[in-house]
Amino acid sequence: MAGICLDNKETINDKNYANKYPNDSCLPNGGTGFTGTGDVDAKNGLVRESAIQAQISNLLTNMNATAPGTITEEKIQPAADFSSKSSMLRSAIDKEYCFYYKRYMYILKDVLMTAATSGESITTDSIYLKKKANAETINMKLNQILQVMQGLVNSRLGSLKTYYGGSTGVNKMNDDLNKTRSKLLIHTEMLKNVNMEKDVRSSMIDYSLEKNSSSRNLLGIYGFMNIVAVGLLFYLYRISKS
Amino acid sequence: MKEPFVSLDTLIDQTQLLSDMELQSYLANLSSSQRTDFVVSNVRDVMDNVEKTKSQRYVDMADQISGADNNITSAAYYLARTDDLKNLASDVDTLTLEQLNVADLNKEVIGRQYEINEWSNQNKLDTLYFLQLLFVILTFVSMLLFLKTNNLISQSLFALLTTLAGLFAVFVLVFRARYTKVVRDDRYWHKARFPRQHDPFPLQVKTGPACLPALSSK
Repeated sequence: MAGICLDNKETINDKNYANKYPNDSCLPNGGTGFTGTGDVDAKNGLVRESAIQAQISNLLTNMNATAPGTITEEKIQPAADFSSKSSMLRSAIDKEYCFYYKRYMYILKDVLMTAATSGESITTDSIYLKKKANAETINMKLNQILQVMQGLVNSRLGSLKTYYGGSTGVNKMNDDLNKTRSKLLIHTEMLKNVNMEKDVRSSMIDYSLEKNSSSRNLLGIYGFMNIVAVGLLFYLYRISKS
Repeated sequence: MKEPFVSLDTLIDQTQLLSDMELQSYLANLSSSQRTDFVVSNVRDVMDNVEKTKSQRYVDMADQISGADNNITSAAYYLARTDDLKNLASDVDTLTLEQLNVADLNKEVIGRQYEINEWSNQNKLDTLYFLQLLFVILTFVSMLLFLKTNNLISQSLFALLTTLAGLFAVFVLVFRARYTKVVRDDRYWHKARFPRQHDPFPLQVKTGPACLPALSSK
Protein backbone atom coordinates (compact mmCIF):
# COMPACT_ATOMS: atom_id res chain seq x y z
CA MET A 1 0.00 0.00 0.00
CA ALA A 2 1.23 3.46 -0.88
CA GLY A 3 1.88 5.61 2.14
CA ILE A 4 -0.63 8.16 3.28
CA CYS A 5 0.01 11.75 4.28
CA LEU A 6 2.68 12.23 1.62
CA ASP A 7 1.71 15.88 1.33
CA ASN A 8 2.59 16.54 4.95
CA LYS A 9 6.24 17.62 4.84
CA GLU A 10 6.42 18.65 8.47
CA THR A 11 9.52 17.60 10.41
CA ILE A 12 8.59 16.07 13.76
CA ASN A 13 10.88 16.24 16.78
CA ASP A 14 10.66 16.14 20.56
CA LYS A 15 9.70 19.81 20.67
CA ASN A 16 6.67 19.72 18.37
CA TYR A 17 5.38 16.18 18.50
CA ALA A 18 2.92 16.99 21.29
CA ASN A 19 1.53 20.08 19.58
CA LYS A 20 -2.19 20.45 19.18
CA TYR A 21 -3.69 20.78 15.71
CA PRO A 22 -3.64 24.54 15.08
CA ASN A 23 -6.62 24.78 12.72
CA ASP A 24 -10.31 24.01 13.20
CA SER A 25 -10.47 20.43 14.42
CA CYS A 26 -13.05 17.79 13.60
CA LEU A 27 -12.79 16.65 17.22
CA PRO A 28 -14.89 18.25 19.96
CA ASN A 29 -13.68 20.31 22.95
CA GLY A 30 -11.43 22.52 20.85
CA GLY A 31 -9.59 19.59 19.29
CA THR A 32 -8.96 17.76 22.56
CA GLY A 33 -11.32 14.97 21.55
CA PHE A 34 -14.06 13.05 23.24
CA THR A 35 -13.49 12.77 27.00
CA GLY A 36 -15.43 11.47 29.96
CA THR A 37 -17.60 8.45 30.42
CA GLY A 38 -20.54 10.26 28.88
CA ASP A 39 -18.86 10.29 25.49
CA VAL A 40 -16.48 7.32 25.65
CA ASP A 41 -17.34 3.74 26.50
CA ALA A 42 -14.90 2.71 29.27
CA LYS A 43 -15.06 -0.95 28.27
CA ASN A 44 -13.60 -0.69 24.78
CA GLY A 45 -12.56 2.94 24.46
CA LEU A 46 -14.96 3.59 21.62
CA VAL A 47 -16.85 6.86 21.41
CA ARG A 48 -20.57 6.48 21.97
CA GLU A 49 -22.87 6.76 18.97
CA SER A 50 -24.81 9.69 20.42
CA ALA A 51 -21.63 11.70 20.96
CA ILE A 52 -20.48 10.95 17.43
CA GLN A 53 -23.82 12.05 15.98
CA ALA A 54 -23.76 15.29 17.96
CA GLN A 55 -20.24 16.03 16.79
CA ILE A 56 -21.12 15.21 13.16
CA SER A 57 -24.08 17.54 13.38
CA ASN A 58 -21.89 20.37 14.71
CA LEU A 59 -19.21 19.64 12.13
CA LEU A 60 -21.59 19.68 9.18
CA THR A 61 -23.24 22.85 10.43
CA ASN A 62 -19.96 24.64 10.98
CA MET A 63 -18.55 23.55 7.62
CA ASN A 64 -21.92 24.13 5.89
CA ALA A 65 -21.50 20.68 4.36
CA THR A 66 -24.92 19.25 5.17
CA ALA A 67 -26.35 17.21 2.31
CA PRO A 68 -28.99 19.22 0.44
CA GLY A 69 -32.37 17.90 1.52
CA THR A 70 -34.55 19.83 -0.88
CA ILE A 71 -34.06 21.83 -4.02
CA THR A 72 -35.48 25.31 -3.85
CA GLU A 73 -35.40 28.21 -6.24
CA GLU A 74 -33.47 30.27 -3.72
CA LYS A 75 -30.73 27.66 -3.74
CA ILE A 76 -30.13 27.08 -7.40
CA GLN A 77 -26.91 25.09 -7.19
CA PRO A 78 -27.19 22.90 -4.08
CA ALA A 79 -25.26 20.05 -5.68
CA ALA A 80 -22.33 22.25 -6.65
CA ASP A 81 -22.34 23.88 -3.20
CA PHE A 82 -22.39 20.52 -1.47
CA SER A 83 -19.64 19.14 -3.68
CA SER A 84 -17.39 22.07 -2.86
CA LYS A 85 -18.13 22.13 0.88
CA SER A 86 -17.89 18.37 1.35
CA SER A 87 -14.56 18.38 -0.46
CA MET A 88 -13.32 21.06 1.94
CA LEU A 89 -14.51 18.98 4.88
CA ARG A 90 -12.70 15.88 3.64
CA SER A 91 -9.58 17.91 3.07
CA ALA A 92 -9.76 19.34 6.61
CA ILE A 93 -10.16 15.89 8.13
CA ASP A 94 -7.31 14.58 6.01
CA LYS A 95 -4.98 17.35 7.16
CA GLU A 96 -5.81 16.83 10.82
CA TYR A 97 -5.41 13.08 10.57
CA CYS A 98 -2.05 13.45 8.89
CA PHE A 99 -1.00 16.03 11.48
CA TYR A 100 -1.48 13.52 14.28
CA TYR A 101 -0.47 10.49 12.22
CA LYS A 102 3.04 11.74 11.61
CA ARG A 103 3.44 12.66 15.26
CA TYR A 104 2.12 9.32 16.37
CA MET A 105 4.50 7.40 14.15
CA TYR A 106 7.36 9.50 15.46
CA ILE A 107 6.60 9.15 19.15
CA LEU A 108 5.57 5.51 18.83
CA LYS A 109 8.91 4.62 17.35
CA ASP A 110 10.64 6.55 20.09
CA VAL A 111 8.65 4.89 22.85
CA LEU A 112 9.07 1.41 21.40
CA MET A 113 12.79 1.85 20.95
CA THR A 114 13.12 3.10 24.49
CA ALA A 115 11.02 0.26 25.83
CA ALA A 116 12.92 -2.35 23.86
CA THR A 117 16.39 -1.16 24.75
CA SER A 118 15.87 -0.30 28.41
CA GLY A 119 15.49 -2.57 31.34
CA GLU A 120 12.93 -2.69 34.14
CA SER A 121 14.01 0.81 35.27
CA ILE A 122 12.06 2.28 32.36
CA THR A 123 8.80 1.94 34.24
CA THR A 124 9.85 4.71 36.60
CA ASP A 125 11.41 7.04 34.00
CA SER A 126 9.29 10.19 34.02
CA ILE A 127 10.36 11.27 30.52
CA TYR A 128 9.47 7.89 29.10
CA LEU A 129 6.15 7.83 30.93
CA LYS A 130 5.31 11.31 29.65
CA LYS A 131 6.12 10.31 26.07
CA LYS A 132 4.09 7.17 26.46
CA ALA A 133 1.14 9.16 27.77
CA ASN A 134 1.44 11.61 24.88
CA ALA A 135 1.60 8.74 22.41
CA GLU A 136 -1.58 7.31 23.90
CA THR A 137 -3.29 10.70 23.63
CA ILE A 138 -2.29 11.09 19.99
CA ASN A 139 -3.39 7.53 19.23
CA MET A 140 -6.69 8.26 20.91
CA LYS A 141 -7.17 11.29 18.68
CA LEU A 142 -6.37 9.28 15.56
CA ASN A 143 -8.86 6.63 16.57
CA GLN A 144 -11.50 9.23 17.35
CA ILE A 145 -10.94 10.91 13.99
CA LEU A 146 -11.55 7.54 12.34
CA GLN A 147 -14.74 7.16 14.35
CA VAL A 148 -15.83 10.64 13.33
CA MET A 149 -15.20 9.65 9.71
CA GLN A 150 -17.30 6.54 10.22
CA GLY A 151 -20.03 8.71 11.70
CA LEU A 152 -19.80 10.97 8.69
CA VAL A 153 -20.23 7.99 6.37
CA ASN A 154 -23.31 6.91 8.34
CA SER A 155 -24.69 10.45 8.12
CA ARG A 156 -24.21 10.49 4.35
CA LEU A 157 -25.88 7.12 3.99
CA GLY A 158 -28.81 8.46 6.02
CA SER A 159 -29.08 11.42 3.66
CA LEU A 160 -29.03 9.08 0.67
CA LYS A 161 -31.84 7.07 2.23
CA THR A 162 -33.97 10.21 2.42
CA TYR A 163 -33.22 10.88 -1.26
CA TYR A 164 -34.43 7.48 -2.29
CA GLY A 165 -37.09 7.12 0.42
CA GLY A 166 -40.68 6.21 -0.25
CA SER A 167 -42.32 9.62 -0.53
CA THR A 168 -39.36 11.97 -0.47
CA GLY A 169 -36.52 13.15 -2.65
CA VAL A 170 -36.10 11.42 -5.97
CA ASN A 171 -39.31 9.40 -5.78
CA LYS A 172 -41.42 12.43 -4.90
CA MET A 173 -39.77 14.45 -7.65
CA ASN A 174 -40.40 11.66 -10.13
CA ASP A 175 -44.02 11.43 -9.01
CA ASP A 176 -44.44 15.19 -9.46
CA LEU A 177 -42.83 14.97 -12.87
CA ASN A 178 -45.12 12.13 -13.89
CA LYS A 179 -48.19 14.05 -12.72
CA THR A 180 -47.15 17.13 -14.67
CA ARG A 181 -46.41 14.99 -17.72
CA SER A 182 -49.83 13.33 -17.50
CA LYS A 183 -51.55 16.72 -17.26
CA LEU A 184 -49.53 17.92 -20.22
CA LEU A 185 -50.52 14.89 -22.28
CA ILE A 186 -54.20 15.37 -21.45
CA HIS A 187 -54.10 19.06 -22.30
CA THR A 188 -52.17 18.38 -25.50
CA GLU A 189 -54.80 15.84 -26.55
CA MET A 190 -57.55 18.33 -25.72
CA LEU A 191 -55.77 20.96 -27.76
CA LYS A 192 -55.63 18.61 -30.74
CA ASN A 193 -59.37 17.94 -30.47
CA VAL A 194 -60.11 21.64 -30.11
CA ASN A 195 -58.06 22.36 -33.21
CA MET A 196 -60.02 19.73 -35.16
CA GLU A 197 -63.30 21.25 -33.96
CA LYS A 198 -62.04 24.69 -34.90
CA ASP A 199 -61.26 23.44 -38.42
CA VAL A 200 -64.78 22.02 -38.76
CA ARG A 201 -66.32 25.29 -37.61
CA SER A 202 -64.12 27.25 -39.97
CA SER A 203 -65.40 25.08 -42.82
CA MET A 204 -68.96 25.80 -41.68
CA ILE A 205 -68.25 29.53 -41.83
CA ASP A 206 -66.88 29.13 -45.36
CA TYR A 207 -70.05 27.27 -46.32
CA SER A 208 -72.29 29.99 -44.85
CA LEU A 209 -70.27 32.62 -46.70
CA GLU A 210 -70.83 30.74 -49.95
CA LYS A 211 -74.56 30.65 -49.30
CA ASN A 212 -74.59 34.40 -48.61
CA SER A 213 -72.76 35.04 -51.83
CA SER A 214 -75.28 32.96 -53.79
CA SER A 215 -78.24 34.77 -52.19
CA ARG A 216 -76.63 38.13 -52.94
CA ASN A 217 -76.32 37.21 -56.61
CA LEU A 218 -79.97 36.13 -56.73
CA LEU A 219 -80.99 39.41 -55.09
CA GLY A 220 -79.13 41.31 -57.77
CA ILE A 221 -80.73 39.29 -60.58
CA TYR A 222 -84.25 39.69 -59.22
CA GLY A 223 -83.70 43.35 -58.51
CA PHE A 224 -82.71 43.81 -62.14
CA MET A 225 -85.66 41.73 -63.37
CA ASN A 226 -88.05 43.86 -61.30
CA ILE A 227 -86.64 47.03 -62.80
CA VAL A 228 -87.14 45.53 -66.27
CA ALA A 229 -90.68 44.52 -65.32
CA VAL A 230 -91.48 48.03 -64.09
CA GLY A 231 -90.05 49.43 -67.33
CA LEU A 232 -92.15 47.05 -69.38
CA LEU A 233 -95.23 47.99 -67.42
CA PHE A 234 -94.54 51.68 -67.96
CA TYR A 235 -94.01 51.03 -71.69
CA LEU A 236 -97.33 49.20 -72.02
CA TYR A 237 -99.06 51.93 -70.07
CA ARG A 238 -97.71 54.52 -72.50
CA ILE A 239 -98.89 52.46 -75.47
CA SER A 240 -102.33 52.01 -74.00
CA LYS A 241 -102.65 55.76 -73.47
CA SER A 242 -101.61 56.59 -77.00
CA MET B 1 -16.43 1.10 14.30
CA LYS B 2 -17.17 -2.09 16.14
CA GLU B 3 -13.61 -3.35 16.55
CA PRO B 4 -11.65 -1.88 19.48
CA PHE B 5 -8.36 -0.26 18.62
CA VAL B 6 -5.05 -1.81 19.68
CA SER B 7 -3.72 -0.07 22.75
CA LEU B 8 -0.22 1.23 23.09
CA ASP B 9 0.45 -1.03 26.06
CA THR B 10 -0.22 -4.07 23.91
CA LEU B 11 2.32 -2.91 21.36
CA ILE B 12 4.91 -2.29 24.06
CA ASP B 13 4.23 -5.66 25.61
CA GLN B 14 4.66 -7.38 22.28
CA THR B 15 7.93 -5.57 21.68
CA GLN B 16 9.23 -6.29 25.16
CA LEU B 17 8.13 -9.89 24.89
CA LEU B 18 10.16 -10.36 21.79
CA SER B 19 13.12 -8.67 23.48
CA ASP B 20 12.94 -10.20 26.92
CA MET B 21 11.59 -13.72 26.95
CA GLU B 22 11.98 -16.10 24.06
CA LEU B 23 15.20 -14.78 22.68
CA GLN B 24 17.15 -14.23 25.90
CA SER B 25 19.64 -16.97 25.18
CA TYR B 26 20.00 -15.91 21.56
CA LEU B 27 20.58 -12.29 22.50
CA ALA B 28 23.22 -13.29 24.99
CA ASN B 29 25.34 -14.67 22.18
CA LEU B 30 25.10 -11.49 20.10
CA SER B 31 27.40 -8.51 20.20
CA SER B 32 26.12 -5.10 21.28
CA SER B 33 25.69 -3.81 17.73
CA GLN B 34 23.96 -7.02 16.67
CA ARG B 35 21.56 -6.72 19.59
CA THR B 36 20.79 -3.15 18.63
CA ASP B 37 20.17 -4.18 15.06
CA PHE B 38 17.89 -6.97 16.23
CA VAL B 39 15.86 -4.60 18.43
CA VAL B 40 15.65 -2.04 15.66
CA SER B 41 14.43 -4.74 13.31
CA ASN B 42 11.74 -5.80 15.73
CA VAL B 43 10.63 -2.24 16.30
CA ARG B 44 10.53 -1.69 12.55
CA ASP B 45 8.26 -4.70 12.15
CA VAL B 46 5.89 -3.38 14.79
CA MET B 47 5.96 0.08 13.22
CA ASP B 48 5.21 -1.40 9.81
CA ASN B 49 2.24 -3.22 11.22
CA VAL B 50 0.98 -0.10 12.94
CA GLU B 51 1.46 1.99 9.81
CA LYS B 52 -0.28 -0.58 7.70
CA THR B 53 -3.23 -0.79 10.08
CA LYS B 54 -3.60 2.96 10.48
CA SER B 55 -3.22 3.58 6.75
CA GLN B 56 -5.63 0.85 5.80
CA ARG B 57 -8.33 2.10 8.13
CA TYR B 58 -7.88 5.69 7.11
CA VAL B 59 -7.93 4.90 3.39
CA ASP B 60 -11.04 2.77 3.84
CA MET B 61 -12.83 5.53 5.70
CA ALA B 62 -11.68 8.21 3.25
CA ASP B 63 -12.87 6.12 0.30
CA GLN B 64 -16.24 5.52 1.93
CA ILE B 65 -16.72 9.21 2.66
CA SER B 66 -15.66 10.19 -0.82
CA GLY B 67 -18.00 7.62 -2.38
CA ALA B 68 -20.91 8.70 -0.20
CA ASP B 69 -20.28 12.37 -1.01
CA ASN B 70 -20.13 11.57 -4.71
CA ASN B 71 -23.40 9.66 -4.48
CA ILE B 72 -25.07 12.55 -2.71
CA THR B 73 -23.71 15.01 -5.24
CA SER B 74 -24.99 12.86 -8.12
CA ALA B 75 -28.38 12.46 -6.45
CA ALA B 76 -28.56 16.20 -5.78
CA TYR B 77 -27.75 16.96 -9.41
CA TYR B 78 -30.38 14.45 -10.46
CA LEU B 79 -32.90 16.11 -8.16
CA ALA B 80 -32.02 19.52 -9.54
CA ARG B 81 -32.33 18.38 -13.16
CA THR B 82 -35.59 16.56 -12.43
CA ASP B 83 -36.89 19.72 -10.78
CA ASP B 84 -35.86 21.72 -13.85
CA LEU B 85 -37.62 19.20 -16.07
CA LYS B 86 -40.75 19.37 -13.94
CA ASN B 87 -40.73 23.17 -14.10
CA LEU B 88 -40.23 23.01 -17.85
CA ALA B 89 -43.16 20.63 -18.22
CA SER B 90 -45.27 22.89 -16.01
CA ASP B 91 -44.42 25.89 -18.19
CA VAL B 92 -45.34 23.99 -21.34
CA ASP B 93 -48.55 22.83 -19.66
CA THR B 94 -49.37 26.44 -18.75
CA LEU B 95 -48.85 27.46 -22.37
CA THR B 96 -51.06 24.60 -23.51
CA LEU B 97 -53.79 25.69 -21.11
CA GLU B 98 -53.57 29.25 -22.41
CA GLN B 99 -53.86 27.93 -25.95
CA LEU B 100 -56.86 25.90 -24.87
CA ASN B 101 -58.49 29.02 -23.44
CA VAL B 102 -57.75 30.94 -26.62
CA ALA B 103 -59.10 28.07 -28.70
CA ASP B 104 -62.22 28.01 -26.55
CA LEU B 105 -62.73 31.72 -27.11
CA ASN B 106 -62.09 31.28 -30.83
CA LYS B 107 -64.60 28.45 -30.91
CA GLU B 108 -67.26 30.74 -29.44
CA VAL B 109 -66.38 33.54 -31.85
CA ILE B 110 -66.45 31.17 -34.80
CA GLY B 111 -69.77 29.71 -33.66
CA ARG B 112 -71.28 33.15 -33.28
CA GLN B 113 -69.96 34.23 -36.66
CA TYR B 114 -71.59 31.17 -38.21
CA GLU B 115 -74.92 32.13 -36.58
CA ILE B 116 -74.62 35.69 -37.89
CA ASN B 117 -73.89 34.45 -41.39
CA GLU B 118 -76.85 32.08 -41.27
CA TRP B 119 -79.21 34.82 -40.04
CA SER B 120 -77.96 37.17 -42.73
CA ASN B 121 -78.41 34.54 -45.41
CA GLN B 122 -81.97 33.79 -44.31
CA ASN B 123 -82.70 37.51 -44.31
CA LYS B 124 -81.47 37.74 -47.89
CA LEU B 125 -83.63 34.78 -48.88
CA ASP B 126 -86.63 36.51 -47.30
CA THR B 127 -85.91 39.64 -49.27
CA LEU B 128 -85.46 37.50 -52.37
CA TYR B 129 -88.85 35.95 -51.77
CA PHE B 130 -90.48 39.36 -51.80
CA LEU B 131 -88.59 40.41 -54.93
CA GLN B 132 -89.76 37.23 -56.67
CA LEU B 133 -93.31 37.91 -55.58
CA LEU B 134 -93.06 41.51 -56.77
CA PHE B 135 -91.72 40.33 -60.09
CA VAL B 136 -94.59 37.88 -60.50
CA ILE B 137 -97.14 40.61 -59.64
CA LEU B 138 -95.56 43.11 -62.02
CA THR B 139 -95.60 40.50 -64.76
CA PHE B 140 -99.22 39.73 -63.92
CA VAL B 141 -100.17 43.42 -64.06
CA SER B 142 -98.30 43.79 -67.35
CA MET B 143 -100.28 40.91 -68.75
CA LEU B 144 -103.55 42.48 -67.55
CA LEU B 145 -102.54 45.79 -69.08
CA PHE B 146 -101.81 44.05 -72.35
CA LEU B 147 -105.24 42.42 -72.28
CA LYS B 148 -106.94 45.69 -71.42
CA THR B 149 -105.11 47.52 -74.22
CA ASN B 150 -106.47 44.98 -76.65
CA ASN B 151 -109.95 45.37 -75.06
CA LEU B 152 -110.00 41.75 -73.94
CA ILE B 153 -110.87 42.75 -70.38
CA SER B 154 -112.74 45.70 -69.00
CA GLN B 155 -111.29 48.68 -67.19
CA SER B 156 -113.03 47.80 -63.96
CA LEU B 157 -111.74 44.21 -63.99
CA PHE B 158 -108.25 45.47 -64.69
CA ALA B 159 -108.48 47.94 -61.80
CA LEU B 160 -109.85 45.28 -59.45
CA LEU B 161 -107.22 42.67 -60.21
CA THR B 162 -104.40 45.21 -60.15
CA THR B 163 -105.56 46.57 -56.81
CA LEU B 164 -105.86 43.05 -55.34
CA ALA B 165 -102.39 42.14 -56.59
CA GLY B 166 -100.96 45.37 -55.18
CA LEU B 167 -102.65 44.87 -51.83
CA PHE B 168 -101.38 41.32 -51.70
CA ALA B 169 -97.83 42.51 -52.34
CA VAL B 170 -98.10 45.21 -49.66
CA PHE B 171 -99.61 42.72 -47.23
CA VAL B 172 -96.81 40.24 -47.74
CA LEU B 173 -94.19 42.97 -47.34
CA VAL B 174 -95.70 44.37 -44.15
CA PHE B 175 -96.44 40.97 -42.66
CA ARG B 176 -92.94 39.60 -43.19
CA ALA B 177 -91.22 42.79 -42.07
CA ARG B 178 -93.29 42.92 -38.90
CA TYR B 179 -92.76 39.21 -38.22
CA THR B 180 -89.01 39.63 -38.54
CA LYS B 181 -88.94 42.70 -36.32
CA VAL B 182 -91.37 41.57 -33.61
CA VAL B 183 -91.61 37.80 -33.50
CA ARG B 184 -88.46 36.41 -35.03
CA ASP B 185 -85.58 35.60 -32.64
CA ASP B 186 -82.55 37.86 -32.90
CA ARG B 187 -80.14 34.96 -32.93
CA TYR B 188 -81.82 32.05 -34.67
CA TRP B 189 -83.85 32.78 -37.82
CA HIS B 190 -86.27 29.90 -37.42
CA LYS B 191 -86.94 30.53 -33.74
CA ALA B 192 -89.95 32.62 -32.72
CA ARG B 193 -90.22 34.72 -29.59
CA PHE B 194 -93.25 34.47 -27.38
CA PRO B 195 -93.24 37.35 -24.88
CA ARG B 196 -95.67 35.73 -22.44
CA GLN B 197 -93.86 32.40 -22.38
CA HIS B 198 -90.71 32.01 -20.32
CA ASP B 199 -87.84 30.60 -22.35
CA PRO B 200 -87.12 27.15 -20.86
CA PHE B 201 -83.69 27.02 -22.51
CA PRO B 202 -82.15 30.49 -22.28
CA LEU B 203 -79.19 30.96 -24.58
CA GLN B 204 -75.80 31.83 -23.16
CA VAL B 205 -74.86 34.78 -25.31
CA LYS B 206 -71.30 35.81 -24.47
CA THR B 207 -70.08 37.68 -27.48
CA GLY B 208 -71.26 39.11 -30.72
CA PRO B 209 -74.02 41.53 -31.66
CA ALA B 210 -77.42 41.08 -30.08
CA CYS B 211 -79.29 41.33 -33.35
CA LEU B 212 -78.88 42.18 -36.95
CA PRO B 213 -80.64 44.97 -38.84
CA ALA B 214 -83.32 43.75 -41.17
CA LEU B 215 -82.41 43.31 -44.81
CA SER B 216 -78.73 43.73 -44.04
CA SER B 217 -76.22 42.19 -46.38
CA LYS B 218 -73.08 40.33 -45.48
